[in-house]
Amino acid sequence: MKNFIWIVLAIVISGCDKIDQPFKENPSGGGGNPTTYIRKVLIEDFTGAACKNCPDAANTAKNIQNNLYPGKVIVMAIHSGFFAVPGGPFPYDFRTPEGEQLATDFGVQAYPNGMVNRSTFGLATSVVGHGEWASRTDSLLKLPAVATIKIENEYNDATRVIATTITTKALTDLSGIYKLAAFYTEDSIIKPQLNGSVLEQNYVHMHALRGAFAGTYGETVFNNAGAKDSIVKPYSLTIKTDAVPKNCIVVAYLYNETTKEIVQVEEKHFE
Amino acid sequence: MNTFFAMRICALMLLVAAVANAQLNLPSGIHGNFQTDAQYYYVDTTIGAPVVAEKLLNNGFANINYTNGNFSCGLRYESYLNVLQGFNPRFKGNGIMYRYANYANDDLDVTIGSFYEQFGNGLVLRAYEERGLGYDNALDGLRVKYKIATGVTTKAFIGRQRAYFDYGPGIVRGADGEINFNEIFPKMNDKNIQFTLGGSFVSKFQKDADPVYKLPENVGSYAGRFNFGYKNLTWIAEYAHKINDPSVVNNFIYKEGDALYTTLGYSTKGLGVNLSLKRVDNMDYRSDRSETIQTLLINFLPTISRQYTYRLVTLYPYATQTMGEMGGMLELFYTFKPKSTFGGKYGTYLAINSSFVNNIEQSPDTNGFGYSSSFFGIGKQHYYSDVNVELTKKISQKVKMTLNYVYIEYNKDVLEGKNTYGIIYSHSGIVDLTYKINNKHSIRTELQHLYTKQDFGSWAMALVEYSHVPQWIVSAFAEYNYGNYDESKRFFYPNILLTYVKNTNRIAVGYGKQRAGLLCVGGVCRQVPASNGFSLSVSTTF
Repeated sequence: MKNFIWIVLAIVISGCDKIDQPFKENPSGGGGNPTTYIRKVLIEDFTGAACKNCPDAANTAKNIQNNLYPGKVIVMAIHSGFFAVPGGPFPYDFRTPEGEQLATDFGVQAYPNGMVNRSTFGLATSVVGHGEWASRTDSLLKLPAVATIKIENEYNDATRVIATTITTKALTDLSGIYKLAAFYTEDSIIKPQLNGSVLEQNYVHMHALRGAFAGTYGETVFNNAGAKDSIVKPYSLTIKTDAVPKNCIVVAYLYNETTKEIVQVEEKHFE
Repeated sequence: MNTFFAMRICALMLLVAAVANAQLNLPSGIHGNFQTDAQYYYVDTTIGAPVVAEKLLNNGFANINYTNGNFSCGLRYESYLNVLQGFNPRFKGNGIMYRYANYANDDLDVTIGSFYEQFGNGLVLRAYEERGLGYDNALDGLRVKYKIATGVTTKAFIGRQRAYFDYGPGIVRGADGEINFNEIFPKMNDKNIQFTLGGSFVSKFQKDADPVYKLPENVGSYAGRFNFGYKNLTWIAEYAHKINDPSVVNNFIYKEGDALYTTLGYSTKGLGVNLSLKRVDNMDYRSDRSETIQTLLINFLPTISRQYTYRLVTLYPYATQTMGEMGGMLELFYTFKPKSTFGGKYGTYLAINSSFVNNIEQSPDTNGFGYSSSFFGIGKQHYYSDVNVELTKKISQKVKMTLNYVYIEYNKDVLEGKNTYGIIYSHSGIVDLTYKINNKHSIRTELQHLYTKQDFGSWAMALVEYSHVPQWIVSAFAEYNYGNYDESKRFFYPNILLTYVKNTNRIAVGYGKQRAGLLCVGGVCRQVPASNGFSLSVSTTF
């Protein structure tokens, strides 16, 4: 028995990995996709203006989108929950009914937090801290694309109506029900944000979820689709009165209704 | 774990145990407990109560344990349909996440399955359950305890931690040894000296899949401790150190962490004095580096302030700041003897304590370590302090009284992650009177008042509780936020609770409005939303 204890002790004591500088390594580059089509990744960043650590998560998403995997990642900042309730120095209401529903349904409690293609990676929840977003994005980008999404927009300046036509095409057989959800987001909204211990009055909010074309969960487009099946869905809505059209983007994604996992996502500016 | 699988395992264990019992005729028995807490929620947007789609929510569990001589096994079935407001919604559905089998003889103790464990004061390991907080970081794996020699005990374990109805991705392993010198050298007892010495090591493994950072996959921590006593003096101390552990909570810095906790005490008949000191630096330690709040914590950093129970004072509770804090607490207990000037006929008990917590001094570092900090450097940012004076006195055969004054300075911005509140200064006064009508009937009243010019302003509370022991307790209380600067938010929160107890059965039915706030136990807190509705609680032990 004594030997057993000492063996365990020896194993335990060897359990230390002290890392020396540099602490960062070159990213693997992601991708690795041999097909012409890329499975893009959606990062849903649950955030709030009064959340002091949320700008860190926004920076993580920005780094993943712009530096690590340019052209392959789409970000949606979902202002929701306790830290998004307007009040005090944060009078502007970024919240949307769809964003609140997503936060509730996916059990977002702590902020910042997020989902990467809503993939659970075998765990009980798909919601993870921003420290996990890069590794999850890297893994997901290595998967083959199973569908494509094409977005065509037509914005009417007089009526402030955005009409979008979304074409979804299966690249392989897709068993089960797949739904298409479409939203619009807005960049460069200058409103107060708590950043660490600093209240930034002119913080630039990016990718803010502003509205949905077909509710929180969209509509069914495929039910046991075969390869090359495609479907065209036209949608329209009137954008918010204070939205700046040139900063607005249509974001559409296809997801499996059972697993909730997003298998393809695309975005396109209004104009 | 699959519920049916867990049940089959326990059934098999029970069968084996029953056979062993039949063969050996060992003492055996089944024991356990059951509890269910249901709440019906009304829509009440005026007090900020969230709309509950299900209207009725329920948390329930049952522990079933079987012992037979040196063998024991058991399981806990849990049900969250759906989980009560304020608990993490990752508790969802039914299942068995806690099941174990244990064999123990004089020297050896082996557990397979789920277990709770603590090394020392918990600075490097504490797996425990706090049901009121929805906190459960039980380990699932294998644990061995062995008594090497008289006074020398060791423990070692390996396992994964529970995360709601799942397990965390990391593997945790550790070992602890403790030497009790009083058992080795019994003559020390004759000289009124007590001394134990302990050391522990814990390591976690989590795969590095990050494309940006080189993350340590094995993160080790170690701690040393002693308990020393000489006559009326006691001195307890533990120091812990953790190697680089970049995580979401520490914003992926590579600085090592440490913590020190020590208490010096003196007690004699009628008098007790304790001085506690604590320093914490980057000691958030989890088996998943991406988790936050209360999920998958490996260690526990004891709080250094008094844990208040009077309701209004709990508006401003202190929660340990795992990323850094430095503080101290002084406690004094004194009993004035009966028939003395202050003691009166029956004696008087006086307790005074005061605590103070600031951040640690930090110098920024741009090389990935985050910051550097002198071990004795106290930062200028104030987190919390309090002064508490409590006087308990039996006035007559029938009347007992407790008077309490509490002053708290509470940095709401740091402790609740806000920005515009600053430090809340509050003064609270409490009068707690119990009138014993006879041996079976008594009435207790509480009058509480909290004064502050900040936050929600001042509050008042009154409680009346009638007890008919051992079976009935009826209590009614109301909180009134009469000092809220927003007159439209001067809410009144009435509550009534009827409790019936018979033998080991307890049934409680209540109705009330509850304010939003923090519920804290041992320095760990959870946010509780406002609510309005009926509650039912049923529990029993067997």
